[in-house]
Amino acid sequence: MEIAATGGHNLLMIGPPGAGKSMLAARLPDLLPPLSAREALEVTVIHSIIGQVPKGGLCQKRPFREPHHSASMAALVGGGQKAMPGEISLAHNGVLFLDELAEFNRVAIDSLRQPLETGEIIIARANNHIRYPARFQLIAAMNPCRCGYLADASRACSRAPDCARLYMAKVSGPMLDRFDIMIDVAELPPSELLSPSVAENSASVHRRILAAREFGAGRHNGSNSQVNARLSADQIDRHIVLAPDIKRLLEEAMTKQKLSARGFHKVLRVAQTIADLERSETLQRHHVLEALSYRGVLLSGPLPG
Amino acid sequence: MHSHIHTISFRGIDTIPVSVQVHLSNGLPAMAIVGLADKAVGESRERVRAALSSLGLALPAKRIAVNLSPADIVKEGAHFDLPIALGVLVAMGALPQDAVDEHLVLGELSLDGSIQPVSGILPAALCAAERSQRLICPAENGPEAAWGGDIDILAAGSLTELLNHLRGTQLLSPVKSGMLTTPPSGPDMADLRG
Repeated sequence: MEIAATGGHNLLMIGPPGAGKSMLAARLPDLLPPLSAREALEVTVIHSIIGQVPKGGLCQKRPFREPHHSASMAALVGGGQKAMPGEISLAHNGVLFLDELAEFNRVAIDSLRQPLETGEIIIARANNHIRYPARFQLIAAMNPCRCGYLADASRACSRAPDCARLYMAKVSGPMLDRFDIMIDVAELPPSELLSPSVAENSASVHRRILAAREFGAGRHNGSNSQVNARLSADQIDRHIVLAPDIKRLLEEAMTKQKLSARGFHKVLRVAQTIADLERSETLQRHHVLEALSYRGVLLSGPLPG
Repeated sequence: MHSHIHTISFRGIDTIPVSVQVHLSNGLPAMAIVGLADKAVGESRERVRAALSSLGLALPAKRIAVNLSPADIVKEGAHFDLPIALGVLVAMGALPQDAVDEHLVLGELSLDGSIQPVSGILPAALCAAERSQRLICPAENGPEAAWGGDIDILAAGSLTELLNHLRGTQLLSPVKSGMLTTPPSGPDMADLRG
């Protein structure tokens, strides 16, 4: 979660019901750095178009949109008779959280593929051709299968693992490829739930994220304040220095795990964010390995078993 | 007998300058709005008529043609009420044309002459700043408009207030920009286990 917040990476959480996926997501807005003046203006302009600027205030907090899974394609990407902005544009410079990703209409989810890459959406209609900015961070949560208890043999339904394969197939491969980080959110044993909380509070995580972002921006000579998730291929080549043994490791991973070219760049971006969090100047082997592990869920085929 | 007022139309988050032209001519008394106006704009005829009568002014017994130029793009939204009303007032001779030149006008009218808030004020204010025009907008939208940059804003609560200001009899108070809001913090990470 911290890595995703630092680098603006798209995150997919997979886990059984009640494991805390939505709880994690609800805490994300407080971790993110505040909007810059320019970003706040961009966000307010979009909200102004639909007349949602309470008391004329400029909002400094990043938008956090969580549409229900019954949302239609037009509601997500924008459209309708007047081609109004959709949820992805309202989440511009912020976070779009899709809970129960697999329950969304497949067409609606796949419509996010293009804006995720380009950071904008062009709504083309017969009499309209309208561009809205949509540079958002996608956070999604889903169960591993319909009953939700795939990992727990005692509770999983009799159709496992087939039903899980069907359930995961509801989210298309190209869509899964667009998630930089995929994590399994496991259920906690009762002993841990009952013990007193040892987690850090949001404020301290927030400070660490700010520091890591500053550290990252310093690498680009402060030329732009973009997050690692938005680094272009060209910028990756220029700024990320790979040691020979890491090159070999990546090559091996690419062939073994059938990493796409996009996946390759995404691994490097995530690895860079991990390095930033550790304030490490160079990308090291364990950064890349950790980044690779976050794509494990997808790479080992749709499902274990 | 002729007037023109500047306003805008929206295309996504972009703004397109629109000029509202009003012409009075002899003929059967009627008011026609042309220039690809959608339903909300077409209905503004009734709101303008009622708002003017609330000022004690009747529409002139002439043929009133309102043109929204450029005429080939669709105009949507209720923010054309105020520019149309001002255009009619100028064409009637109730206001001089130079009082409304260099102003960008947006606002929805209610039947009693008060000016209702509209959406899209911030992009409008940015557009006014770019073209170094002054902005006339509903009072409720004033704080939002003030984020648009260094522009003069007239945020009027009613048509009467606006007319008094434009004639110099009673000035509107300057607009303060809205608050920088930070919504209350959500749940804390410390609640999480594991």
